[in-house]
Amino acid sequence: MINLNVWNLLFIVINILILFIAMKKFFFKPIQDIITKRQEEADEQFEKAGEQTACAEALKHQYEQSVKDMENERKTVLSEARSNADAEYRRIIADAAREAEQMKQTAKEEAKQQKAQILKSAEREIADFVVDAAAKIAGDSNGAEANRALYSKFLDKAGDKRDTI
Amino acid sequence: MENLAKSLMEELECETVFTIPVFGGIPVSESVVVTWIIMAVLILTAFILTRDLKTHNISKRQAIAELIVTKLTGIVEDMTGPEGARYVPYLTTVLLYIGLANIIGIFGFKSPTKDLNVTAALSVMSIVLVEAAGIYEKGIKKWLHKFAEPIWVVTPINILEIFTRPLSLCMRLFGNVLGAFVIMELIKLIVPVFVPAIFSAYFDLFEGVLQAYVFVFLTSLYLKEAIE
Repeated sequence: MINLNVWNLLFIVINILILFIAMKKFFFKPIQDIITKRQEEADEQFEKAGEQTACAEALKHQYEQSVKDMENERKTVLSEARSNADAEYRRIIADAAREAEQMKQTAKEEAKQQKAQILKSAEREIADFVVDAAAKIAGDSNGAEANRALYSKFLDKAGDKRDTI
Repeated sequence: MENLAKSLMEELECETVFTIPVFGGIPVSESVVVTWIIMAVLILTAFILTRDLKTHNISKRQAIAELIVTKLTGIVEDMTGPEGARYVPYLTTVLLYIGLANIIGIFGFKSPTKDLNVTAALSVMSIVLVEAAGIYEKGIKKWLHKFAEPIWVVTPINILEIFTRPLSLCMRLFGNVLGAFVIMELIKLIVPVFVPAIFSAYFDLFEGVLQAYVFVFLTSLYLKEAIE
């Protein structure tokens, strides 16, 4: 049909407009909406997964840190105990050494004193003996008393001097 | 031969199906009625395909619907460009309508695109859309200025284009559908067995879809030119 008809033209235009509106409302829009919604949901899930991964990572890090801390603490405690024990050991040894030294010193002193005493008494006896002998030889008992005193003095001086050397 | 001419004319004649008895009788032609059928088919299909849409565990029906929509709008959006995304639903609707109108002949209906009124209406709507989009996107001043581009001398030709474009759209679609129809009738007359089936696949199916594509392609070309 080559001839145009205003009514037909109008009808077709109206029909196509109605078809367009209906298709847009019932076909393109709902499907486009659902695709957009799905995209949004997928994005959301991706985001959530990322967050969870970060959280797990942080937890892992924390755990590792605490393990490391524990190790460090163990080391400190151990070394402290060791150094404490060391100090105690050294103190005990030192104490023992000092005591032994003291005992040795006392013993030495005592021995010296005893030796001096013995020496002194021996000297006195020798002096007595010498004086007695001399008196007997001289037959002078008067002079003998004076001589003993003299000799004893001499011995004291000389003997002391010799002792210190 | 005379018989062929007669039957061809009869096939081409778009009969008035009924008359609305107001204003001295408004004729409703066959093409309008077939358009109603096409509308009913498209809208019904849309209704069936878009029932209970979900975001997860989608049904096969929804998958098909989404495929159709994304593919078709993708094709049209490629032609209009992202700036013309607003006009994609209309152009897609036109694509569906012309495509279905061209191949509905297979089902025994008279293709509405064989009626000059239909192609003329579609072309007028296209050019109205193009010019309206130009005014809407650019503003009336820039839209008017476009007529004097690239130089003022071409202004008459540019103005003429407002009329020649829809005319060419209208005549191209009408002529192609008519031509395909006439060729098919001739082939049927010469070899009535087997051969028409092969040619029908081209002239009724492929040609119909192709012409729908060409129509929408040219419209979006004009649209793109108008809004950029």
